[in-house]
Amino acid sequence: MSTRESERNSSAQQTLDILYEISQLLNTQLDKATLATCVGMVENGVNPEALAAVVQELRREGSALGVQSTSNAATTR
Amino acid sequence: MSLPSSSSSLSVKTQGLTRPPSGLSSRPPSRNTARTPTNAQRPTSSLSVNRPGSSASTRPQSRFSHRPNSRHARSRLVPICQALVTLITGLKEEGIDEDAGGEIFQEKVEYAVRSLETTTINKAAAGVDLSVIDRHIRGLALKARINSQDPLSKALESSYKSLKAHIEQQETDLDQDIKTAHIPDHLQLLLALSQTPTDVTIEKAKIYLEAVVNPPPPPPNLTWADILAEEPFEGEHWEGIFPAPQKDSPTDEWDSTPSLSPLNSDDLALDDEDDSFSSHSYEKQQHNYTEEDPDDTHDNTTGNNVVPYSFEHRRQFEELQSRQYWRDDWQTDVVLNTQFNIGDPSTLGPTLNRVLVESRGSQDAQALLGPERYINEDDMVREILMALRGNRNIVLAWREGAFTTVPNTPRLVHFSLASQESIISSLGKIATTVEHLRRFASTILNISIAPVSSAPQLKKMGITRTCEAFADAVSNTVRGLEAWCSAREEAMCRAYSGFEEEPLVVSLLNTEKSLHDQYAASFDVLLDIVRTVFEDKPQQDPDTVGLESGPAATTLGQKNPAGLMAFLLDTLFSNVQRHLERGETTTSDALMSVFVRTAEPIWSMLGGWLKHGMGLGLGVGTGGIAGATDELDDEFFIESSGVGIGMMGLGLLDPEFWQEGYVRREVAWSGDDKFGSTRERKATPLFLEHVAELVLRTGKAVGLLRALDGLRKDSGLKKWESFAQLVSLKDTVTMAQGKNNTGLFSVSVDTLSRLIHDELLPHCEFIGAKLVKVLIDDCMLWKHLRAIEDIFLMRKGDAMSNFVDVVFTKMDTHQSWSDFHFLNTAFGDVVDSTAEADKTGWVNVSLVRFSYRGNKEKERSVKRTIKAIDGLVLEYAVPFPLIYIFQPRTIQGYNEIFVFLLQIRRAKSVLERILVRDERGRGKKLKEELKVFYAMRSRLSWFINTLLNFLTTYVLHAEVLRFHLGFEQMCSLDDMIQFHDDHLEKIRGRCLLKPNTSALHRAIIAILDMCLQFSEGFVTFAGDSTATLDLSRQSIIMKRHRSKRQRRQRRNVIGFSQFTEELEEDESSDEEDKDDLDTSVSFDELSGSGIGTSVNSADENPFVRVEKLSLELDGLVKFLRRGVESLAGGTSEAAAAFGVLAFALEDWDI
Repeated sequence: MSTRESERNSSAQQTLDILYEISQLLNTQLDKATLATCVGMVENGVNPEALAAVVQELRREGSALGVQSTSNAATTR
Repeated sequence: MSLPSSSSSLSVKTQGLTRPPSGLSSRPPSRNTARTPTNAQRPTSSLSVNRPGSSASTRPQSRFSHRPNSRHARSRLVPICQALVTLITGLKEEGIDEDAGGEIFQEKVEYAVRSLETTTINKAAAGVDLSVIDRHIRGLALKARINSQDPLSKALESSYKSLKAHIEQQETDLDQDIKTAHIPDHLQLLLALSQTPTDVTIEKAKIYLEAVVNPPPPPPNLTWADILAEEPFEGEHWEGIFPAPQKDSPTDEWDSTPSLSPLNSDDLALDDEDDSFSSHSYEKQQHNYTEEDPDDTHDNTTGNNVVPYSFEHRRQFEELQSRQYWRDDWQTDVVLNTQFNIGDPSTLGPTLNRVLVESRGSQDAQALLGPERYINEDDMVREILMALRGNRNIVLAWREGAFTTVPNTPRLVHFSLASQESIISSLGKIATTVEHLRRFASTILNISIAPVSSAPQLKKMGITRTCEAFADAVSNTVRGLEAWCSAREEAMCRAYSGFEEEPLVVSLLNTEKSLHDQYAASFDVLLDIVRTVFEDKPQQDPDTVGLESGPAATTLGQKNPAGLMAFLLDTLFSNVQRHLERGETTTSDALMSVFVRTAEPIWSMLGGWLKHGMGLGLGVGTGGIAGATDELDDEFFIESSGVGIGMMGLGLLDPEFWQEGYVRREVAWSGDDKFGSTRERKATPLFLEHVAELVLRTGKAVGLLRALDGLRKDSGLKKWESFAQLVSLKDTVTMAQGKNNTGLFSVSVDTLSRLIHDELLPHCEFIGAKLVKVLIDDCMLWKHLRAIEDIFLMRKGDAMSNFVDVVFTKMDTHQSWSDFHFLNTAFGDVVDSTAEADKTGWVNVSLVRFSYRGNKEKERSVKRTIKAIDGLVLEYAVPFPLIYIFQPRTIQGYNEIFVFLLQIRRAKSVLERILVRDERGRGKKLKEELKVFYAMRSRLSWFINTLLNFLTTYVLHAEVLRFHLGFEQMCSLDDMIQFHDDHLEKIRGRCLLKPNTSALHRAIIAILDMCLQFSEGFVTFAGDSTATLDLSRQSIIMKRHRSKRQRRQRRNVIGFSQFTEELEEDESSDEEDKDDLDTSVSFDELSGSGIGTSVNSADENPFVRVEKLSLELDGLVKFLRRGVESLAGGTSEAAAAFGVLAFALEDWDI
């Protein structure tokens, strides 16, 4: 990996870290992986409000299904 | 698991999920189709098989290019949405328990894609401005604060700020994965998802804040050591180093150690244990991975902080301890029990010790005492340096007022005990001296800073400023030594550390020599001075008492502060000189610097005195309290004597104030003479002795100028340099002169005095001249001087003659001539009459006052004796500042001269009134008789005229002229006073008014009396009152100016034509003759010279009387002539003047 790429990655990582901190402070209940996905989607042009609505909907559905996010957490490790 | 749209083996790694998804999405979807063979081979992939509803996979490829934008976006969204759904709901594409067929999953993905794809199309333009987010975040922070969730609020703001900073930092980089422009969108997403903060949120905020304040250490950079340490070679950095994984590997993941295990076992032929070890290490590695998860970083780091003491620490500790030579259990590295070796100095000490013990047979005692402690010499030197600085050390201890060695003082291996003692005691002596000085200084300074209330007795003892300065100077010198010691110790330490390239030799002898070179005997001398001046005897029990109660507690109080100051400075300076003369410049320099510092207070007091001058003694500003005006320091060598100060004092206006108001202080001085006798001396340090008078005078002049408002603000002393500056100035001067300037100072008292004198003189002269100018210009000095001379010395001839004539007329007419009002009115009239002649009023009549101090009887006797006039007192009221010059006693001196002149004039006038004539025709016999009278009168007249001529011309006129010339040159008030006094004394001396010429004076008075007697006798003889003439009254009436000569001429003319019968009262001549007799006799008794005989019978023949008078006169004149000749032959300055008189009197016999 060239230094240039590593710089890019670390920069993106920093941005992501900060966003993660804010998301925690805002109590968004997003884990890092989900956040990364969401950020990627927004970067690709997804409307953030719509995405938020989708995330909330999905959460509601997920909880209705009784699927615990523990498995979710395990996969992120 | 793998994503269907990805063909890269890397992208499906487990860790791939945490990677920024940009890599996933940015990949062109066109590659999808190219990789179909790979996809087909994958058995687990259900993309094309199990998912019939997915249009993405079933769509024919040919339609790809014709797909509208929405389709395009959709194809991008699908895989992301799948991941999202999986992440959020936990559902999986291949199905889980609740969703066996994956239908729910598909449904959710479809829902997500559908919801998002519409907005995605329109999204391009719809962005949220960052300012909106700003407001939103601020609002949230504010809300948190209102809800008392300060940490959250702060954390929010802080994190938002850091985000913005990060954005700005990245702004220029267009190549970012996460575009800066999208940040508001991200935030909007988060805000949309945000929920009410819970306790967990606040805890997280706290942790975040703490992390901000105490940032965790940055993760260590990846090093080769780390890379090689991780046995399972996994991670990106191994990529490409090892061959690619085999195609038939169960997984195509790179990082699994089991895939490497066969390599290990096959190629490297490792045994089975290795396998197990490998797997074990793998598990461990896995465990480590878990621990290194970012969430758990904190726990890890805190755990690592607990560092157990290691052997290394122990070793360092021991090593440090081994260098602590002062420890009792410290052992030198020298072997002590070796035999004596002449080539090895370190065997000397122990050998001597051993031999000594053996020879005395005291091995047991030695064993009891324990082995000697030996330390190295450099350490010993350090200890000595500490002792010199007065600190605790192991070599010398403070016992009984001295630094001495103690039984447990360590030894040096290469010295015998005696030689070591010798060296150390020499150094210890210096340390002792220094310690004494240190204690002395601290005692003095402690007393001086102590508040008055706590130590009133000590305060009273008079720790003067000079004492303080001396203590400070001593302390300064001691501190200099301490600095010197520290510098040497520093040099040693530097040498230890190897900073210095030059080798440093440290030894006791070297230290002692350097110390001596640096300070010589300075400290001993200083201590001597302290003991001499403060009579500080070494105390009996210094350990307890020390110098606390002090040097001086007992002695300071006994001494006058000024005396102490002078004694201290003199002692210091004489020591400086003594050592300078011996060529011990080191000592003398050190002492001189102490001296200079000690002299500073007195020097500044001197400056203050010169600047502010004397107090005016008026009690102004002190509440009128007598004594409170003494604003000078007790130790200053000038003091206010209190003259003119007090309840009724006139202060400045007192004529004595100038001379007596401020004087140099005198103290009882149990001085340096061997006999210990107490004598008075001025409390002035010797080096200021020469300028003391000058300084005193100038200070007084400044005070007077201030009083006269003659001193402008700017003309005072402008700059007052410190004594040190002055002395250094001198130093440069001598350097400039190219003299042999050995040290800082090569001065004797005289040199220093001259230096100070030169420094002060310009200012003093300036002040003096200024005062003189004020006196002359503003106080009209010359006008008053001339008036005094005109009156007292009768230099205003016409006016005074008129006045005298008036008075004489009164005398002749037997009226009361000495009446106060008559005298003053007459004088006033005379002045008025002459004032018209010369318009300038030559005298202010109101300042002049005649009075007569004597009883009526004496006044009446004026007919018989000239001494009656003695009682006349003429006073001149000199105005204020001039009264210092023309003091009452000065005026009295003038008065004596005035009276003497008046007496002579009286005699002269009496003689001149006698008319020796014969127009009445008494016959030839009478003519013959009259010749006798005539001759007698001539002789008397000749003498009187000669005398008067001498006095007026050669004494008064000459002296006054000379005085005026000299007086103009005077440049200070004191000089003026002195010069004027001298002048007056000269005149008095020449007028024979001084005690040493009293016999001559009496002879003159006797002659003058003779004139009176002669006149009386003649009147008696003539038998009528017409024998005398008086014109003075006439002259007053006529009020015309006439010279003496004119008057005489006129008298000669008129005297014969204008015959008046005014004087008719001369009837009681008989009685008066009797008085005459008494007078003459009394003179004979007084003079005791047996000159002639006097008239002894009133009934005697007048001719006999005249004969006798003549004889008497002859004797008196000859006596006078002899006296004057002896004076003229003398060595006094008046000899020349008397020579004139003697020469004139020589004519007597011709």
